[in-house]
Formats: sequence, C-alpha cells, structure tokens
Amino acid sequence: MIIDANTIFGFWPRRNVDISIERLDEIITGFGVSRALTSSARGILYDYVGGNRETIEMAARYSWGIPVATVDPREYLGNLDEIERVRDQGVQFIRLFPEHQKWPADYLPFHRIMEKLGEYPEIVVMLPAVHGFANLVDLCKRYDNRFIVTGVMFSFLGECLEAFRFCPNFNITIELLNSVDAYETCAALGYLDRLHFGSNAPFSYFSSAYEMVTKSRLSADDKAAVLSGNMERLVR
Amino acid sequence: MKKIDIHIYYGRWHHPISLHTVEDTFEVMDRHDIEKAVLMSAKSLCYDYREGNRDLFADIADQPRLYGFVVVNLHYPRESVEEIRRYADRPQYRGIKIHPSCTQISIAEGYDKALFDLVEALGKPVLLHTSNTKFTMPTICVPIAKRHPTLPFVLGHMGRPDWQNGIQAAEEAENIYLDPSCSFPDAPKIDESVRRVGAEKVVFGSSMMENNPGFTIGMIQDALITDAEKEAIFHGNAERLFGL
Repeated sequence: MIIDANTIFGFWPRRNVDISIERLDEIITGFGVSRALTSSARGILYDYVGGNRETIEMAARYSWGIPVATVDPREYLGNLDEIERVRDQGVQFIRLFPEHQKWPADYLPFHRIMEKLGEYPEIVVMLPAVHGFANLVDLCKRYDNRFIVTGVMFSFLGECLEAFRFCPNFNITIELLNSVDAYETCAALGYLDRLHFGSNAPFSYFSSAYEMVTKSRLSADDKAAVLSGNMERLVR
Repeated sequence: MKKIDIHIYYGRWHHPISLHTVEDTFEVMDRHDIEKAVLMSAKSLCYDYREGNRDLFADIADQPRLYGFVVVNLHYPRESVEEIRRYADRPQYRGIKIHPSCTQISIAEGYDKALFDLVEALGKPVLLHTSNTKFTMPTICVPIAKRHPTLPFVLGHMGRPDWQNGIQAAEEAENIYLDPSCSFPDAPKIDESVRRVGAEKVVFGSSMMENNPGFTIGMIQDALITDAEKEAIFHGNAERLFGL
C-alpha cells in the first residue's frame, strides 16, 4: 500500500510540465497509490479560496484524494476565515508555500496564521525545508500541531536529525532525501515513524522517490511504514 | 535492465553518510543492478586531488567492475597534466573529472590547451560538474568542447536545477553529453533531453555514494521513452564512450 503525502495538480506557468489532475490521476493509478495528499496549484499561485474549492471537489471526485488546503499570507485578508471554512469541511492538512510565494520565515501574517492553526492541533501543518530548520523547530515547540516538512534534501539531513530529536511532532516527506543511506540512518536513530513517502508528482518523476524506499536496506515492515503506515496513523 | 554508472564518488563526504568503502560500493551497486561503475575520489574533489587519486587508484586496482576518473584541479594545470600521465596507462583509467564548484574556477577560466589536448589524445571523456552558478553553468563548456571536437564532455548533473541550460549545451556541441544525476528529479527532463538531443547523448550516472542511485534510476524508468532508449542511457552509451 502506498500513500503519497506530496502531490500537486492544476497548471504550472513557471515551466512546461503537465500537472493536470488527469496526469496526476494517471500516475496515482498507474503506480497503485491508494491515497494521495494533494493541493491545487491555483491556490499556491493565484487564488487560495478558489484553489481550496477545487481541491475539495477533487477529493470528492477521486477516491484516492486527500485534500490539502492552503492560504496565502501575502493576501492577509480572509486567511483566518478560510482556515475556519476548510476545517468545517473536514480538511485536516494545511500546507503553506513560502518557496513559491517568496515570503520569509519571520513574515508577520504567517505567524498570525500559525496562531490560528495552533487553536486546532488536529490540523497537520505542511511547510518546506527551505523555511529553515531552526524556524521549523521553533514552530514545533510553540504549537501542538504535527508538522510535515517537504523538500528535505540530503544536505539538510544533519539538521533534520536534530529537529527529530528536539521535536516529537516534526515529520518529513522523503522525496528529496536522497543520500545513499538516509532512511537507514533515520531508522537507526529511532526516527523511522517520522518519515512519510512523498513523490512531488507530477512535478517530479514518481519512481525517483519510490525506488529509494523500495531498494533501501530497511526491513519490509519499515518500508511499509514509510510508504503508508506512518501516514495512515495521521489521516483521520 | 543492465546498468553502468559513470558518476560514483568514493570516500567520505561532509554529510551524515556511513557508507564509504569499496565493499559498501559493491553492496549498493548490487542492490540497484549496477554492473560496472566509474569512480572519482571525494577527497580529490573537496581537498587534495593528488592524494585522493592515489587512494582511489590503489583501492580499485584489483576490482574488475570498478574504473576511475583522474580528478584534476585547474588552478594547477601543469601538475594536473602530470597527474593525468601518472594514471593514463592504468587499465582502470576512464577519463578526467573537473569540479568547478569545489575548486571555484570555471572550465573557461582554467582552460589549459595542453591539458585538454592530452585528454583528447587519450580518447576518454571529461566528466564536468555542472550546476547553476557562474563557475558551473553548462553552456560555459560549449566553446571548449568545440575546440576539442573528438573529446566527449559529459555534463555531470546536466546543470542541476538549470537542466534546460544543460540540454542547450548538448544541442550546441556534438561532443557534449548529459548525465542526469542530481537532486532535482524534475519531470520531464529525461523525456525532453531525449527529444532534443537523442538518447545516445544521455548517460546514466547516479552520484552515489553521496546520492541514492534509485533517485536517478527512477527518473529514467518513468520517462516516456522507448526501452531501446532506456538501454542506451543505462549502459549502451557508457560502453561506447568509456570503453566499458
């Protein structure tokens, strides 16, 4: 069983790549993925309210879909209402995209959003590694929400291991954690339950992440935990 | 599918990685069905190129599946020529590696005609680290590749995030090839490389033992290209270019 914690759908204006919902569905079904957390690119780049609407519609249309909502702190007005609205509709994951929206870790409207999310510790917050590990650890300490950090490259592994040690609510997706024995190292230090399979499809080739897990030296049980078990425990 | 990996690092890196030895290399190669590999010394890239070359060629001397690049440092062109001559007649020699990022000098700034004439005469490729900095942009290599038309230049990482620039370089010079190993599994860069420059100009490299070879293998597996094109990328081109 596979649960993909990192997918996106829509249109991408910044390079020529097919990230349509049809392409994502083809990948998800082609690789036998059972469930996939996914967000609308519209919500990232232009209109988070419209994006969340289509994300929720997508999850109703595709049995594999788990909606991941977003807000854009740059827009400020309406951010908190939108969090209430998507929560009322059963959304459990909120993902923020500073890497695409170019706001810094100390951006004040973001911290107002975090205060709001902190009122709902059942909401899982997703942020990118480029937000900075010291900043991410600070958030994990301040709020009871679980955090899932995407885009953790192997060059961040040392910091990531320290974040695991500091914060039991610090989790990551594995799609860019591509040093040769990274998952084995995490497992040996007792952090295997923080690793979640993610592919970043259709932006990225699905099998890049998948091959790394399936060909690792993890035990069959540990591979299953990364591919789905760890996320299964998080999804309501 | 059989694989030959032309981009393997040997030795320690400054990352939390525990696998460093020849035995570790074989274990990872076998797990990913990699039959043969061309290695370069991580010590040579990060520190002393001569000391690293010495370690590497000593440690792979009796290993029939492993071959080696001589790492050169363009700040030391005369000594680098001597270094190439030191290893060129070894059966493991399969070309030279240049790392403009580690050495902070681009191939254009450090160009030395005698060095490249020698490598061209020896008939094995140059593996050039490329990325998106002023030292490492792939197209920097184009005029030099044109000056040495029979010398294959393989662009390691094909420009990393700037892989479009890598493909452009391979379009501009017939003797420039693309190695897609890196931390950017962007779709559809393999498909687009094959469409624009042909599968015969894409060569499988993984950047193991720093990176996980499954990462690049997965990119090639998922590309919407023919099995024959995948065969060429995974081993046929390396057999032809590197004499493996």
